[in-house]
Amino acid sequence: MELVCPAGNPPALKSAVDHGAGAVYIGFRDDTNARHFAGLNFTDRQMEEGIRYAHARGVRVFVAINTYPQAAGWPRWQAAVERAAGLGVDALIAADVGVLDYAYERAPDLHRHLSVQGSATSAEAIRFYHRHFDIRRVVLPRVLSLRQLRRVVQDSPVPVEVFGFGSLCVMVEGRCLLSSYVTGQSPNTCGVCSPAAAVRWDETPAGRDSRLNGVLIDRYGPGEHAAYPTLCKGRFEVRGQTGYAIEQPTSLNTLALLPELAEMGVAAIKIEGRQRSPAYVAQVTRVWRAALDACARDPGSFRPRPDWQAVLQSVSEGAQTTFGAYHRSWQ
Amino acid sequence: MASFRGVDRVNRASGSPGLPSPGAVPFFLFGSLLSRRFARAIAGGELDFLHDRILRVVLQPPGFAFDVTLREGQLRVAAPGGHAGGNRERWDLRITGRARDFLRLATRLEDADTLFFQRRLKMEGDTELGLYLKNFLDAQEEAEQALARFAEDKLRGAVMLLERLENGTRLSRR
Repeated sequence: MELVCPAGNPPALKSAVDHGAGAVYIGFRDDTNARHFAGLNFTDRQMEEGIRYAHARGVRVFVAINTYPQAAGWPRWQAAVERAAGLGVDALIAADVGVLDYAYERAPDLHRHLSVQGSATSAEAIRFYHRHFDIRRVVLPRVLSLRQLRRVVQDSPVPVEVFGFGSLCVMVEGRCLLSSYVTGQSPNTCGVCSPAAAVRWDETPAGRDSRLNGVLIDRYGPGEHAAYPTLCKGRFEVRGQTGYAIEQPTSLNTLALLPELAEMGVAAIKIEGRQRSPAYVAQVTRVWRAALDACARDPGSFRPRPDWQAVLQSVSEGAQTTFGAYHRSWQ
Repeated sequence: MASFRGVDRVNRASGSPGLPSPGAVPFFLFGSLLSRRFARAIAGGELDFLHDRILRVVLQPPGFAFDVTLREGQLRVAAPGGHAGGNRERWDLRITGRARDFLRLATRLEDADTLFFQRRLKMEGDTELGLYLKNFLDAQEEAEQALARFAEDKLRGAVMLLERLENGTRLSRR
């Protein structure tokens, strides 16, 4: 299985390459990708150097152009496709049918991967994208149980990539409008759930207050782990009870599921976190490289090592990791 | 530390530009060092987000603090209030943490979000400014000057060695 690692800047890309990534995914410095954060991502020159660095070491580079353009911004998405094609990346990761179609027409030789934002959860949906835009891979949303995943992998016309590790959200990928409710922006169109300009943290004697556009979304008591300031991970008062009404801050960790994922034919494992630092990318890539190698050598006796799990636990959002939807036996 | 006065303010008061008062010398040197380390980024406008904005860094314990800003193409460091005419309450972004965690961040041994999740790093004020700063620092390649690279390498080694020694002590106490 290919290890697909995140990079939000050149040192992170180098970290991923140096520590064993099979591919690195990156984005431009604008709203054409779903991690449009202040100061994050690559200029064309940085991308060019990054691609050279990765290719010289046999590592592939994918570019995410995976937000949904609005009519007024369309030229930016067109330009992003052209720039990526000109830079010689190995694949585009896209979700919008307009972007996919444009890429298919303008750069047919450039491979297209259907982004997680495309939210394709069935072989039928994947076949549609394959037939119309000749996609070469699909990144599945994080909503499928293992049983459902097995069926999709079996019937999919293209290789399947799944998320292996990283922060989770409500996972209504490509369709989530929660943050628009408070900030007027959504990850689907603007590339960010909680624009930094709308985020405020106040340290008070009671703990840390987390506010989004002035709305209190959580209050962390002393010593309590904090989370990203997204609406879905806030705590709210519902019928007199205060708690996580939508989603808990937690991280996906599928290390223990590796043999099963390999056996069912999953082609690639994706690591979340383009917004994280080179230190995170190095730590996580090192662990996953070692785990994938160990699993490939002897899947039958593969067990995640405690020191691997300790590293992944330490960099996780929230105090816990989970198998996410993979272990929903009722699905 | 509270008796340290900002370089700019002292210079203006004494009428001798470029000559910091003895108490402000460490801040002045630190600012010069930072300006040299990030000379290319400053010239390229990558640090413009700090222009006339005040970043306050608070080390806890002991509560030692300093202010950083970008002014006239130089990174300037001063005691709290030194960039705001002595107004200690004025800052745009305040980051509070332990000296060791700042060292781990500076030497790329730790991820800022990890420290934030674990409540080892506090960020107050203009979050967007904070994100610009974090992403600017994350995107820095190794220092270009051989001496700076050597120093950063040694610092990283020292931090790791200290932590190994501490861990060893902790283990042997069990």
